[in-house]
Amino acid sequence: MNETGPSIELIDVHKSYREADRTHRVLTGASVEIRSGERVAVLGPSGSGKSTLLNLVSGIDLPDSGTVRVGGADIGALPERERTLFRRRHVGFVFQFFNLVPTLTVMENLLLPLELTGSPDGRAHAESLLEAVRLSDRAGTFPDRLSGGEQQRVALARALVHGPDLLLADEPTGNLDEDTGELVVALLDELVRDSGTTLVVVTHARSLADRMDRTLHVDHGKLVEDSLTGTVPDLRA
Amino acid sequence: MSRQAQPPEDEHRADPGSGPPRLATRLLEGVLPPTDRGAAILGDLHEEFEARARKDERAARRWYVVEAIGIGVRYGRRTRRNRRGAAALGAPQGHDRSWEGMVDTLFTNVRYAVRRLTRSPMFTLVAVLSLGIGIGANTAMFSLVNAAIIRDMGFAEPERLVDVYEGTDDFTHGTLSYPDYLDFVEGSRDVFEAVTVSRFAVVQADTEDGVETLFGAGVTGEFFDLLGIDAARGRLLGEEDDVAPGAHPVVVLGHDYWSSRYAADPDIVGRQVRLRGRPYAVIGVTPEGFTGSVRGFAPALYVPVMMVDELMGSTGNSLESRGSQSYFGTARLRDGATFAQAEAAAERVTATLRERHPRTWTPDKEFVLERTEDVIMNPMIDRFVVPAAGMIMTVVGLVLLIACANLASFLLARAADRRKEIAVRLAVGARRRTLVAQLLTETVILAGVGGALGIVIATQGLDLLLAADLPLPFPITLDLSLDRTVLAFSALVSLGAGVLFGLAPALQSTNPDVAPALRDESAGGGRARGASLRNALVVGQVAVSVVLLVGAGLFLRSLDASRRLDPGFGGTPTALVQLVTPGDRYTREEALVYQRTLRERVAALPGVQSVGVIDNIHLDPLNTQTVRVQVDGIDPPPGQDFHGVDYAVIDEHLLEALDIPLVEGRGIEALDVADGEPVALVNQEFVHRFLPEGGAVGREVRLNGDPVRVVGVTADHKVRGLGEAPRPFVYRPIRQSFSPYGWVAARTGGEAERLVLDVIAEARALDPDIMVTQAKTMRRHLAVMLLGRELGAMVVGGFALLALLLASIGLYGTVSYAVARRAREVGIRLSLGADVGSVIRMLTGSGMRLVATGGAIGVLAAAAAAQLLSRLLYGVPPLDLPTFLVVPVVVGLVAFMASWVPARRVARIDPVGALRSE
Repeated sequence: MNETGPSIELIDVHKSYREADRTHRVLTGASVEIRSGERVAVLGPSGSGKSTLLNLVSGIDLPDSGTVRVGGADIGALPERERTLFRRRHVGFVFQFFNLVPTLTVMENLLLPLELTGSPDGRAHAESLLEAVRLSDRAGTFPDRLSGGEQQRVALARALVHGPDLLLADEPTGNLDEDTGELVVALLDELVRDSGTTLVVVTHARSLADRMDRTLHVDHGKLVEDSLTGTVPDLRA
Repeated sequence: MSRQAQPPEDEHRADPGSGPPRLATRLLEGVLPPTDRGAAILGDLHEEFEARARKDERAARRWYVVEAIGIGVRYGRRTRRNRRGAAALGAPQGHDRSWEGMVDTLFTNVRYAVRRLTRSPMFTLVAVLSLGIGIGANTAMFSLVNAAIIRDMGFAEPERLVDVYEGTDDFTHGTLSYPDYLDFVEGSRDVFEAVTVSRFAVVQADTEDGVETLFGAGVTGEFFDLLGIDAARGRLLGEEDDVAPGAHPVVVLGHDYWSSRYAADPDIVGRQVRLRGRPYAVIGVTPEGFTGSVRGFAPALYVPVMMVDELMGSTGNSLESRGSQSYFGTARLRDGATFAQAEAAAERVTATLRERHPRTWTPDKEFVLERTEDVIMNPMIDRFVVPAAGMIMTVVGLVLLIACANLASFLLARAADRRKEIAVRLAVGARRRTLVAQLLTETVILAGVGGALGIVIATQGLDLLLAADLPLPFPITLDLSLDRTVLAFSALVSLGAGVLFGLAPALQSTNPDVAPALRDESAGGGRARGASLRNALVVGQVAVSVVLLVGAGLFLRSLDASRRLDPGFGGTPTALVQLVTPGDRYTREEALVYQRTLRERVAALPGVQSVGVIDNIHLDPLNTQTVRVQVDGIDPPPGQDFHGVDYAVIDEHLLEALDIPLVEGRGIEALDVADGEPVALVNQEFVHRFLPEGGAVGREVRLNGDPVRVVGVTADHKVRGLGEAPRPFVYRPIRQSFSPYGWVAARTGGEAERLVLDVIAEARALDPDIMVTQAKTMRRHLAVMLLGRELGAMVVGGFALLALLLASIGLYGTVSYAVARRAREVGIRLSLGADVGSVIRMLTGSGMRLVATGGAIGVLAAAAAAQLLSRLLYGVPPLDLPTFLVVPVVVGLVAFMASWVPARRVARIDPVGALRSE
């Protein structure tokens, strides 16, 4: 991987899910290139495959066909153990539903990625991040005592605590009111800007998308460039 | 305040769809009462609708409309009627406290409970099975305890009955001799209205096919009258049947024998049965349920005590011998007489007999009285029976407790899942009491069905037990039918179980802390409610399992130690047949000729290696006999002028037949005849105890006052019990000390079972009327000694394994539920880069921490419980290290599997799905 965030390439990616008796085709030949350190917003209607895109990039999920390259590595070709290590070391996740571990305190949630990477001296960094998201006084609190905005700020800090070079955010403001969402977006912007981290944000919020370098749309299973910036180049060409 | 029933609209639906038909909902809102029940019904309908809609929404909508119409019609009528009634009475309309209202509420609760249970068939099945097994085990064991200890013996005014024993320092509650009985009657007339004795008698009855050996009783004329027993047919024995020895050939049949042998022939009275070749007139039948005066031993027939010597072919007269102590005594107090007065009378008679018969009435011998109601079988046996019954009931109680803990754990998990539904109901004003009642109805129904299943399991189990071929030396009859006491016990246990496993989850899930439940928990907050109680239940289950398994382990080790004991004889397949050469048909010489001829015929059978005769086989729990031994220079015990030593009369082949080594001198020989020098063999312990200076062979000792020369020394062997310390023993030659009772012991290289039949055939070929009183293999004979330990190991071991199985199911369920609730956490961890192995370790670890805690508590509890078992163990210390090491390991392994399987399943979930779900 690079000093700055990795580049991402999707080449003719297909992905479908079976639900009950029918197959739901989510991505049908999606292709895109995201440059190293680029900050990209992905827009699209519910169920269009935005979250699937993030799961494929992170290696949580694998494409039915096509190629997903992150930092030049073909994620789909990596064994599960390698993909796990890749996620552990290089990826930070922010989810719409926060996904904090309910049985762990705020600080324990923050330390979770560090425990997984085996970084013994990350507590100070975690504390500084907690301060950065303005929750240093809630370190010993369990998630169920936090508001939605507070939980998302913790999730944001957790996503960054181990210094990932790729940050994936899945509708980080989707479950927050407008003001809280603005606060989280501002924090995200503040924490990632100038770090060189590649950022892919799935969102419905135009305001959040406007802060990104580029905006993509998921349209009928394909990725298209926002009309303001043109069509995504066909990498197969 | 009146409340309008509201559907739980704000409830989170997994698949909301378009909801139930609005028109139908409005109809329901219009007709349902504005009470808790109305809200509950509407809530249940919506809940059921959602469950159905997940499968087929259109069908669910159709169902909802039909239900709404049905309820609408029913409640439309009732609402109008109730409003009129309530207005007339001025009662608040919110809670219908009338009888009809309560019945209606109960009916509704039952209906919804049944609906909820049928919606979770797997849970219901596991619950009913667990309870069925637990309650079945309790019912079966209680039936045993009831039959053996509790059940009324059917005596009239039992509070006035007193059991009479002859006790010594060594044998505190022995039977009476007939002369002692007569003296007791004479000396206690002022206190007792009547005194009776009975004795067991092995009786040979003639049948169309030959003969059958029956377990009968000889009783005095007062027996039935004193106990207050009336005849089912004819009459029972009276004083007119108890006048002179051999003069009363009459018999009363036991009800069971009459039913089985004579098909309950109504014309049985007046018919004759042939006992030992003599016709006996049947004068009556005992009532159903009467099983004699000694619990567990139901005689097939009753004869006058005056006929017993003749029936058993005795050579002596037991009615005149103070040494023949075979009679069970029972007395009835006179009206107004006290037990203390009875004891004083017994002391007086004791003093008189000590003075008149100092040889048999030694200073430590006395009459001992016990209230019949306080005695189960015999106070000496009761000392073991009561703790054993207590232990068995404790064991099955613990099994049921584990089953209840399992179900409580499952219900707590379900309650956590239903928390929001219950919160909605509380929020719309449902009373907590109502909800608790609803939830308890569910558990009581489960317990009721489980109880019914338990009774079926108990019945089947008891049938198996009755059919089991236990190596008992005598027939034990226990009425194991499910009487009212047993059924009441089962009902009580079922109800108790229902409340026990239902109350805590019901109270916890209806805790009126509504707000947090109504908040959206999907955000990740909220630790599992009730988790600590569920964890505590798992810890408790594991601890109890460890205690039971340690108990089972100790019994198994004890059994193993007993099995490895060498009795010192009978190591090869041997047939044992006990014969009686009755004194009224055989002279002493004729009997000896019969025994010798039979021995020779048996020895000629194929495969037979050696045949001998002994009058009293070793390790017979029913018979012991001692000889008075005096040895110069060896002081007898204080207060006595002799040593009581076990002995047997044998022929010259017995030592070889039983494989008992001769270590010094010679054995019994054919030349040791009646007019020869009296000789004896002694064993090594005899030499050690009485002839310690050596040179035993050739020494003279006095046996029953007569000088006898020791001609040989045998190796030691067990005499009365497998666990006993070496006991001195004396053998006398059969020609010098004749006994009409003789065990033919035939050692074979073939099948002992087959040889038993062959020996009987040879015996009957020589004399078709010969009395065969017992016949068995040596293996079966010795098995009696292990029976208690085998039963203990089997019962405790079986129930302990059951407990472990139930505890494992509980642990599996708890861990499954816990890890299922942590599915999202697993998804988070996997998405953050945790590997599957670490997640499995984490999930399994939490289960194993509970197991470790429970195991540690269990080991400590087992160490304490083992001390209580120490009296029942042989050859193994209560804190047996292997048991205490193996059991926790076994429990740990089983528990690990119970934790690992669900953990592995959850750790392999699709993290995408877990993270996506709310």
